[in-house]
Amino acid sequence: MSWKKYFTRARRDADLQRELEAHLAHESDTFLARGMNPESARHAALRKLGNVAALRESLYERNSLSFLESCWQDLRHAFRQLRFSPGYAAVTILSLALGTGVNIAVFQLIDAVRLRSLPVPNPQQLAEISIPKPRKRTGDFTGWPSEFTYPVWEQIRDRQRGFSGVLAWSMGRINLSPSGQARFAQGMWVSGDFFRVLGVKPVAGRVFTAAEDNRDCNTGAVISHAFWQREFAGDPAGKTGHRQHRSLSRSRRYAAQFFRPRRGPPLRYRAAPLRGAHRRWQRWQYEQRHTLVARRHGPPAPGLEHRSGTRPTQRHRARRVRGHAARSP
Amino acid sequence: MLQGTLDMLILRTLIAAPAHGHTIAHAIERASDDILQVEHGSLYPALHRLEDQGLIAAFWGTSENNRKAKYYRLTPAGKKRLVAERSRWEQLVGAVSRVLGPATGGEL
Repeated sequence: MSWKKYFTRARRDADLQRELEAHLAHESDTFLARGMNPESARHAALRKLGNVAALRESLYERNSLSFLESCWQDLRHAFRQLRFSPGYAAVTILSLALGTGVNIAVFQLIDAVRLRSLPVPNPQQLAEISIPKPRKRTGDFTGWPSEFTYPVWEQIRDRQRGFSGVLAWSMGRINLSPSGQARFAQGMWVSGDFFRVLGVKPVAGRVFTAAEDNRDCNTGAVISHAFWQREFAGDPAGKTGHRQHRSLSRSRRYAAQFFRPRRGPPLRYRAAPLRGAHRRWQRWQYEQRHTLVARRHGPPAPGLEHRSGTRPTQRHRARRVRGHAARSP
Repeated sequence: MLQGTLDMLILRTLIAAPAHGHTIAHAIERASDDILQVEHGSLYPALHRLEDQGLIAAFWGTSENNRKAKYYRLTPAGKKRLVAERSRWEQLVGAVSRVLGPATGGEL
Protein backbone atom coordinates (compact mmCIF):
# COMPACT_ATOMS: atom_id res chain seq x y z
CA MET A 1 0.00 0.00 0.00
CA SER A 2 1.41 3.31 -0.98
CA TRP A 3 0.42 6.93 -0.42
CA LYS A 4 0.42 7.54 -4.11
CA LYS A 5 -2.29 4.94 -4.61
CA TYR A 6 -4.25 6.40 -1.75
CA PHE A 7 -4.38 9.84 -3.27
CA THR A 8 -5.12 8.62 -6.79
CA ARG A 9 -7.77 6.09 -5.82
CA ALA A 10 -10.68 8.24 -7.02
CA ARG A 11 -9.03 8.54 -10.43
CA ARG A 12 -8.27 4.84 -10.43
CA ASP A 13 -11.90 4.06 -9.65
CA ALA A 14 -13.08 6.23 -12.54
CA ASP A 15 -10.54 4.46 -14.72
CA LEU A 16 -11.87 1.06 -13.72
CA GLN A 17 -15.42 2.18 -14.35
CA ARG A 18 -14.55 3.25 -17.89
CA GLU A 19 -12.68 0.02 -18.42
CA LEU A 20 -15.61 -2.09 -17.25
CA GLU A 21 -17.93 -0.01 -19.41
CA ALA A 22 -15.71 -0.73 -22.40
CA HIS A 23 -15.73 -4.42 -21.49
CA LEU A 24 -19.52 -4.48 -21.34
CA ALA A 25 -19.69 -2.76 -24.71
CA HIS A 26 -17.39 -5.34 -26.25
CA GLU A 27 -19.24 -8.22 -24.66
CA SER A 28 -22.58 -6.80 -25.86
CA ASP A 29 -21.11 -6.59 -29.34
CA THR A 30 -20.34 -10.29 -29.15
CA PHE A 31 -23.88 -11.12 -28.11
CA LEU A 32 -25.29 -8.76 -30.74
CA ALA A 33 -23.27 -10.59 -33.36
CA ARG A 34 -25.02 -13.76 -32.24
CA GLY A 35 -28.33 -12.12 -33.04
CA MET A 36 -29.53 -10.86 -29.67
CA ASN A 37 -31.38 -7.58 -29.40
CA PRO A 38 -29.34 -4.73 -27.84
CA GLU A 39 -31.10 -4.78 -24.47
CA SER A 40 -30.82 -8.47 -23.76
CA ALA A 41 -27.24 -8.43 -25.13
CA ARG A 42 -26.31 -5.85 -22.53
CA HIS A 43 -28.06 -7.79 -19.78
CA ALA A 44 -26.23 -10.94 -20.75
CA ALA A 45 -22.94 -9.09 -20.69
CA LEU A 46 -23.72 -7.69 -17.24
CA ARG A 47 -24.65 -11.13 -15.96
CA LYS A 48 -21.39 -12.52 -17.20
CA LEU A 49 -19.33 -9.78 -15.64
CA GLY A 50 -20.98 -10.11 -12.23
CA ASN A 51 -21.28 -7.47 -9.54
CA VAL A 52 -19.69 -4.34 -10.93
CA ALA A 53 -20.12 -2.38 -7.70
CA ALA A 54 -18.41 -5.11 -5.68
CA LEU A 55 -15.57 -5.15 -8.21
CA ARG A 56 -15.07 -1.43 -7.91
CA GLU A 57 -15.32 -1.56 -4.13
CA SER A 58 -12.67 -4.23 -3.80
CA LEU A 59 -10.23 -2.20 -5.90
CA TYR A 60 -11.07 0.97 -3.98
CA GLU A 61 -10.40 -0.78 -0.70
CA ARG A 62 -7.14 -2.17 -2.00
CA ASN A 63 -6.07 1.40 -2.71
CA SER A 64 -7.16 2.64 0.72
CA LEU A 65 -5.34 2.99 3.96
CA SER A 66 -7.84 1.24 6.16
CA PHE A 67 -6.16 2.51 9.29
CA LEU A 68 -6.48 6.12 8.18
CA GLU A 69 -9.98 5.53 7.01
CA SER A 70 -11.17 4.08 10.29
CA CYS A 71 -9.41 6.83 12.23
CA TRP A 72 -11.30 9.43 10.29
CA GLN A 73 -14.56 7.58 10.90
CA ASP A 74 -13.83 7.31 14.60
CA LEU A 75 -13.08 11.01 14.73
CA ARG A 76 -16.34 11.92 13.08
CA HIS A 77 -18.18 9.54 15.35
CA ALA A 78 -16.55 11.14 18.38
CA PHE A 79 -17.59 14.61 17.29
CA ARG A 80 -21.17 13.46 16.76
CA GLN A 81 -21.20 11.97 20.25
CA LEU A 82 -19.78 15.15 21.76
CA ARG A 83 -22.55 17.17 20.16
CA PHE A 84 -25.11 15.12 22.04
CA SER A 85 -23.77 16.21 25.44
CA PRO A 86 -22.32 19.71 25.05
CA GLY A 87 -21.92 20.28 28.78
CA TYR A 88 -19.84 17.17 29.27
CA ALA A 89 -17.82 18.00 26.18
CA ALA A 90 -17.17 21.54 27.38
CA VAL A 91 -15.98 20.36 30.82
CA THR A 92 -13.75 17.73 29.26
CA ILE A 93 -12.21 20.12 26.77
CA LEU A 94 -11.72 22.75 29.45
CA SER A 95 -10.00 20.36 31.84
CA LEU A 96 -7.80 19.05 29.06
CA ALA A 97 -6.89 22.61 28.11
CA LEU A 98 -6.11 23.50 31.72
CA GLY A 99 -4.03 20.38 32.14
CA THR A 100 -2.07 21.14 29.00
CA GLY A 101 -1.55 24.73 30.10
CA VAL A 102 -0.31 23.74 33.54
CA ASN A 103 2.02 21.23 31.97
CA ILE A 104 3.49 23.87 29.70
CA ALA A 105 3.90 26.30 32.58
CA VAL A 106 5.66 23.74 34.74
CA PHE A 107 7.91 22.75 31.91
CA GLN A 108 8.84 26.36 31.23
CA LEU A 109 9.75 26.77 34.87
CA ILE A 110 11.85 23.61 34.90
CA ASP A 111 13.43 24.66 31.64
CA ALA A 112 14.34 28.05 33.04
CA VAL A 113 15.80 26.94 36.36
CA ARG A 114 17.11 23.52 35.50
CA LEU A 115 17.69 22.89 31.83
CA ARG A 116 18.85 26.18 30.45
CA SER A 117 22.52 26.91 30.83
CA LEU A 118 23.94 30.03 32.38
CA PRO A 119 23.96 33.01 30.01
CA VAL A 120 27.74 33.11 29.92
CA PRO A 121 30.20 32.03 27.24
CA ASN A 122 30.90 28.26 27.23
CA PRO A 123 28.73 27.34 30.22
CA GLN A 124 29.67 23.70 29.74
CA GLN A 125 33.17 24.48 31.04
CA LEU A 126 31.78 25.56 34.39
CA ALA A 127 31.57 23.18 37.27
CA GLU A 128 30.61 23.45 40.87
CA ILE A 129 33.17 22.33 43.38
CA SER A 130 31.72 20.24 46.16
CA ILE A 131 32.98 18.21 49.08
CA PRO A 132 32.89 14.46 48.54
CA LYS A 133 30.70 12.24 50.66
CA PRO A 134 31.11 13.08 54.37
CA ARG A 135 33.96 10.90 55.46
CA LYS A 136 37.29 11.61 57.08
CA ARG A 137 36.90 15.32 57.17
CA THR A 138 36.45 18.01 59.74
CA GLY A 139 34.52 21.19 59.94
CA ASP A 140 31.00 22.42 59.74
CA PHE A 141 29.06 20.57 57.09
CA THR A 142 25.55 21.27 58.14
CA GLY A 143 24.69 23.13 54.98
CA TRP A 144 23.41 21.41 51.92
CA PRO A 145 24.73 22.57 49.18
CA SER A 146 28.21 21.84 50.27
CA GLU A 147 29.70 25.20 51.00
CA PHE A 148 33.16 26.30 51.92
CA THR A 149 34.53 28.58 54.55
CA TYR A 150 36.64 31.51 53.54
CA PRO A 151 39.97 29.95 54.59
CA VAL A 152 39.16 26.86 52.57
CA TRP A 153 38.28 29.04 49.62
CA GLU A 154 41.58 30.87 49.97
CA GLN A 155 43.45 27.58 49.93
CA ILE A 156 41.61 26.37 46.87
CA ARG A 157 42.00 29.69 45.09
CA ASP A 158 45.73 29.86 45.69
CA ARG A 159 46.68 26.23 45.24
CA GLN A 160 44.40 24.63 42.72
CA ARG A 161 45.97 23.74 39.40
CA GLY A 162 43.10 21.85 37.80
CA PHE A 163 41.16 24.82 36.53
CA SER A 164 41.61 27.96 34.50
CA GLY A 165 39.90 29.90 37.23
CA VAL A 166 37.77 29.54 40.32
CA LEU A 167 35.24 31.82 41.87
CA ALA A 168 33.27 31.93 45.08
CA TRP A 169 29.90 33.38 45.76
CA SER A 170 27.29 33.40 48.44
CA MET A 171 23.89 34.85 48.79
CA GLY A 172 23.33 38.09 50.56
CA ARG A 173 20.90 40.90 50.73
CA ILE A 174 21.48 44.56 51.05
CA ASN A 175 19.54 47.42 52.52
CA LEU A 176 18.88 49.99 49.85
CA SER A 177 17.56 52.79 52.04
CA PRO A 178 20.08 54.87 54.03
CA SER A 179 17.61 55.49 56.85
CA GLY A 180 14.08 54.74 57.84
CA GLN A 181 12.34 51.60 56.74
CA ALA A 182 14.73 49.02 55.42
CA ARG A 183 14.35 48.02 51.81
CA PHE A 184 16.22 44.95 50.80
CA ALA A 185 17.48 43.74 47.48
CA GLN A 186 18.72 40.22 46.81
CA GLY A 187 22.34 40.01 45.87
CA MET A 188 25.46 37.96 45.88
CA TRP A 189 28.84 38.36 47.48
CA VAL A 190 31.38 37.32 44.96
CA SER A 191 35.11 36.82 44.77
CA GLY A 192 37.40 39.21 42.93
CA ASP A 193 37.65 37.53 39.57
CA PHE A 194 34.04 36.38 39.51
CA PHE A 195 33.36 38.17 36.24
CA ARG A 196 36.63 37.22 34.64
CA VAL A 197 36.05 33.51 35.30
CA LEU A 198 32.49 33.71 34.05
CA GLY A 199 33.61 35.70 31.02
CA VAL A 200 31.00 38.40 31.47
CA LYS A 201 31.71 42.00 30.59
CA PRO A 202 29.85 45.08 31.84
CA VAL A 203 28.01 47.37 29.43
CA ALA A 204 29.16 50.41 31.35
CA GLY A 205 31.69 51.10 34.04
CA ARG A 206 33.89 48.24 35.15
CA VAL A 207 33.77 45.09 37.20
CA PHE A 208 36.17 44.27 39.99
CA THR A 209 39.31 42.24 39.65
CA ALA A 210 41.15 39.71 41.77
CA ALA A 211 43.58 42.43 42.87
CA GLU A 212 40.72 44.16 44.62
CA ASP A 213 40.06 41.22 46.88
CA ASN A 214 41.06 43.16 49.99
CA ARG A 215 39.48 44.97 52.87
CA ASP A 216 39.65 48.47 51.47
CA CYS A 217 36.09 48.14 50.40
CA ASN A 218 36.11 50.98 47.91
CA THR A 219 35.35 48.96 44.81
CA GLY A 220 31.61 49.18 44.62
CA ALA A 221 28.86 46.95 43.42
CA VAL A 222 27.95 45.52 40.09
CA ILE A 223 24.27 45.72 39.38
CA SER A 224 22.14 44.03 36.80
CA HIS A 225 20.59 45.80 33.90
CA ALA A 226 17.12 45.31 35.37
CA PHE A 227 18.25 46.76 38.70
CA TRP A 228 19.88 49.67 36.92
CA GLN A 229 16.69 50.44 35.05
CA ARG A 230 14.49 50.03 38.11
CA GLU A 231 16.50 51.80 40.77
CA PHE A 232 18.54 54.28 38.77
CA ALA A 233 16.14 54.81 35.88
CA GLY A 234 18.97 53.92 33.50
CA ASP A 235 20.92 57.11 34.24
CA PRO A 236 24.37 57.54 32.69
CA ALA A 237 27.28 56.09 34.59
CA GLY A 238 29.20 58.35 36.94
CA LYS A 239 26.41 60.61 38.02
CA THR A 240 24.02 57.87 39.08
CA GLY A 241 26.69 56.00 40.88
CA HIS A 242 27.58 59.10 42.81
CA ARG A 243 24.06 59.99 43.75
CA GLN A 244 23.20 56.52 44.91
CA HIS A 245 26.49 56.25 46.68
CA ARG A 246 25.14 56.50 50.18
CA SER A 247 22.23 54.19 49.87
CA LEU A 248 24.37 51.38 48.64
CA SER A 249 27.26 52.16 50.87
CA ARG A 250 26.83 49.23 53.21
CA SER A 251 27.63 46.71 50.59
CA ARG A 252 31.01 46.15 49.19
CA ARG A 253 30.49 43.73 46.39
CA TYR A 254 27.13 43.19 45.13
CA ALA A 255 25.69 41.70 42.01
CA ALA A 256 21.98 42.12 42.06
CA GLN A 257 19.96 39.58 40.17
CA PHE A 258 22.87 38.36 38.25
CA PHE A 259 21.27 35.25 36.91
CA ARG A 260 18.35 35.80 34.63
CA PRO A 261 16.26 32.70 34.44
CA ARG A 262 14.48 33.59 31.24
CA ARG A 263 15.50 34.46 27.77
CA GLY A 264 15.60 38.18 27.26
CA PRO A 265 17.93 41.00 26.37
CA PRO A 266 21.58 40.21 26.99
CA LEU A 267 22.92 40.71 30.45
CA ARG A 268 24.13 44.19 31.19
CA TYR A 269 25.95 45.38 34.24
CA ARG A 270 27.00 48.59 35.73
CA ALA A 271 29.45 49.37 38.45
CA ALA A 272 28.35 51.70 41.20
CA PRO A 273 31.05 53.04 43.52
CA LEU A 274 30.55 52.20 47.16
CA ARG A 275 32.43 52.86 50.32
CA GLY A 276 32.98 51.49 53.78
CA ALA A 277 31.41 48.10 53.97
CA HIS A 278 34.13 46.86 56.20
CA ARG A 279 31.88 44.99 58.53
CA ARG A 280 29.96 43.30 55.75
CA TRP A 281 33.18 42.27 54.14
CA GLN A 282 34.45 40.76 57.34
CA ARG A 283 31.19 38.95 57.82
CA TRP A 284 31.45 37.59 54.35
CA GLN A 285 34.93 36.40 55.01
CA TYR A 286 34.38 34.74 58.33
CA GLU A 287 30.76 33.86 58.65
CA GLN A 288 29.37 33.21 55.22
CA ARG A 289 29.69 29.88 53.50
CA HIS A 290 30.70 30.03 49.90
CA THR A 291 29.71 28.11 46.86
CA LEU A 292 32.65 27.47 44.61
CA VAL A 293 32.48 27.35 40.85
CA ALA A 294 35.39 26.51 38.61
CA ARG A 295 36.00 26.94 34.92
CA ARG A 296 38.36 24.84 32.96
CA HIS A 297 39.18 25.25 29.30
CA GLY A 298 39.56 21.93 27.57
CA PRO A 299 39.02 18.45 29.03
CA PRO A 300 38.96 17.83 32.79
CA ALA A 301 42.30 17.39 34.47
CA PRO A 302 43.34 13.84 35.39
CA GLY A 303 42.16 12.88 38.85
CA LEU A 304 39.09 15.05 38.61
CA GLU A 305 35.76 13.37 38.45
CA HIS A 306 33.23 15.28 36.43
CA ARG A 307 29.62 14.58 37.14
CA SER A 308 27.00 16.33 35.12
CA GLY A 309 23.44 17.11 35.98
CA THR A 310 23.01 17.95 39.64
CA ARG A 311 20.79 20.12 41.69
CA PRO A 312 20.52 23.73 40.63
CA THR A 313 22.26 26.31 42.73
CA GLN A 314 20.35 29.54 42.81
CA ARG A 315 18.97 29.59 39.28
CA HIS A 316 22.23 28.25 38.27
CA ARG A 317 23.09 25.02 36.64
CA ALA A 318 26.59 23.85 37.07
CA ARG A 319 28.34 20.56 37.10
CA ARG A 320 29.97 19.35 40.23
CA VAL A 321 33.54 18.42 40.44
CA ARG A 322 35.10 16.37 43.11
CA GLY A 323 38.72 15.62 43.36
CA HIS A 324 41.94 17.19 44.47
CA ALA A 325 40.68 20.70 44.53
CA ALA A 326 37.80 19.88 46.81
CA ARG A 327 39.84 17.66 49.05
CA SER A 328 42.76 20.03 49.49
CA PRO A 329 41.68 21.22 52.97
CA MET B 1 -9.34 -22.31 -12.80
CA LEU B 2 -6.41 -23.11 -10.54
CA GLN B 3 -5.30 -20.52 -8.09
CA GLY B 4 -2.47 -18.39 -9.49
CA THR B 5 -2.72 -19.68 -13.03
CA LEU B 6 -4.80 -16.74 -14.25
CA ASP B 7 -1.88 -14.33 -13.84
CA MET B 8 0.36 -16.63 -15.84
CA LEU B 9 -2.22 -17.05 -18.58
CA ILE B 10 -2.74 -13.30 -18.84
CA LEU B 11 1.01 -12.75 -19.19
CA ARG B 12 1.19 -15.50 -21.82
CA THR B 13 -1.67 -13.96 -23.80
CA LEU B 14 -0.01 -10.54 -23.85
CA ILE B 15 3.26 -11.89 -25.26
CA ALA B 16 2.00 -11.64 -28.83
CA ALA B 17 0.55 -8.14 -28.75
CA PRO B 18 -1.07 -5.64 -26.40
CA ALA B 19 -4.74 -6.40 -25.75
CA HIS B 20 -7.66 -5.15 -23.69
CA GLY B 21 -9.46 -7.11 -21.00
CA HIS B 22 -12.23 -8.45 -23.20
CA THR B 23 -9.80 -9.77 -25.79
CA ILE B 24 -7.62 -11.37 -23.12
CA ALA B 25 -10.55 -13.27 -21.64
CA HIS B 26 -11.71 -14.56 -25.02
CA ALA B 27 -8.18 -15.35 -26.15
CA ILE B 28 -7.65 -17.56 -23.10
CA GLU B 29 -10.97 -19.27 -23.61
CA ARG B 30 -10.34 -19.85 -27.34
CA ALA B 31 -6.79 -21.09 -26.80
CA SER B 32 -8.00 -23.62 -24.24
CA ASP B 33 -10.82 -24.80 -26.52
CA ASP B 34 -13.30 -23.27 -24.06
CA ILE B 35 -12.17 -25.62 -21.30
CA LEU B 36 -10.89 -22.70 -19.23
CA GLN B 37 -13.58 -20.15 -18.50
CA VAL B 38 -12.23 -16.78 -17.43
CA GLU B 39 -14.36 -15.29 -14.69
CA HIS B 40 -14.78 -11.72 -15.96
CA GLY B 41 -15.25 -10.53 -12.39
CA SER B 42 -11.82 -11.79 -11.39
CA LEU B 43 -10.05 -10.81 -14.61
CA TYR B 44 -10.01 -7.08 -13.92
CA PRO B 45 -8.73 -7.29 -10.34
CA ALA B 46 -6.00 -9.59 -11.66
CA LEU B 47 -5.09 -7.09 -14.39
CA HIS B 48 -4.88 -4.26 -11.87
CA ARG B 49 -2.80 -6.36 -9.53
CA LEU B 50 -0.35 -7.19 -12.31
CA GLU B 51 -0.21 -3.53 -13.26
CA ASP B 52 0.58 -2.58 -9.65
CA GLN B 53 3.39 -5.11 -9.65
CA GLY B 54 4.79 -3.54 -12.79
CA LEU B 55 4.46 -6.75 -14.81
CA ILE B 56 2.14 -5.15 -17.35
CA ALA B 57 1.53 -1.54 -18.36
CA ALA B 58 -1.78 -0.01 -19.35
CA PHE B 59 -2.72 2.57 -21.97
CA TRP B 60 -5.98 3.68 -23.52
CA GLY B 61 -6.54 2.91 -27.19
CA THR B 62 -9.22 2.23 -29.74
CA SER B 63 -10.38 -1.31 -30.20
CA GLU B 64 -11.17 -3.23 -33.37
CA ASN B 65 -14.86 -2.40 -32.79
CA ASN B 66 -13.92 1.27 -32.84
CA ARG B 67 -14.51 1.60 -29.12
CA LYS B 68 -12.29 3.10 -26.44
CA ALA B 69 -10.59 0.35 -24.46
CA LYS B 70 -7.84 0.00 -21.92
CA TYR B 71 -4.98 -1.94 -23.44
CA TYR B 72 -2.31 -3.84 -21.54
CA ARG B 73 1.14 -4.72 -22.74
CA LEU B 74 3.87 -6.86 -21.22
CA THR B 75 6.80 -5.13 -19.55
CA PRO B 76 10.32 -6.63 -19.42
CA ALA B 77 9.66 -7.54 -15.77
CA GLY B 78 6.48 -9.30 -16.90
CA LYS B 79 8.40 -11.32 -19.47
CA LYS B 80 10.86 -12.43 -16.84
CA ARG B 81 8.03 -13.39 -14.52
CA LEU B 82 6.34 -15.39 -17.29
CA VAL B 83 9.49 -17.45 -17.84
CA ALA B 84 9.74 -18.18 -14.13
CA GLU B 85 6.06 -19.03 -13.82
CA ARG B 86 6.18 -21.32 -16.81
CA SER B 87 9.08 -23.37 -15.48
CA ARG B 88 7.42 -23.57 -12.07
CA TRP B 89 4.21 -24.72 -13.72
CA GLU B 90 6.00 -27.37 -15.79
CA GLN B 91 7.69 -28.70 -12.70
CA LEU B 92 4.35 -28.88 -10.95
CA VAL B 93 2.65 -30.64 -13.83
CA GLY B 94 5.53 -33.09 -14.19
CA ALA B 95 5.46 -33.85 -10.48
CA VAL B 96 1.73 -34.45 -10.43
CA SER B 97 1.98 -36.71 -13.49
CA ARG B 98 4.76 -38.73 -11.91
CA VAL B 99 2.66 -39.25 -8.81
CA LEU B 100 -0.34 -40.30 -10.82
CA GLY B 101 1.75 -42.62 -13.02
CA PRO B 102 0.41 -44.25 -16.17
CA ALA B 103 -3.32 -44.97 -16.19
CA THR B 104 -3.68 -48.56 -15.03
CA GLY B 105 -7.38 -48.85 -15.34
CA GLY B 106 -7.47 -49.91 -11.71
CA GLU B 107 -9.40 -46.78 -10.81
CA LEU B 108 -12.34 -47.85 -12.84
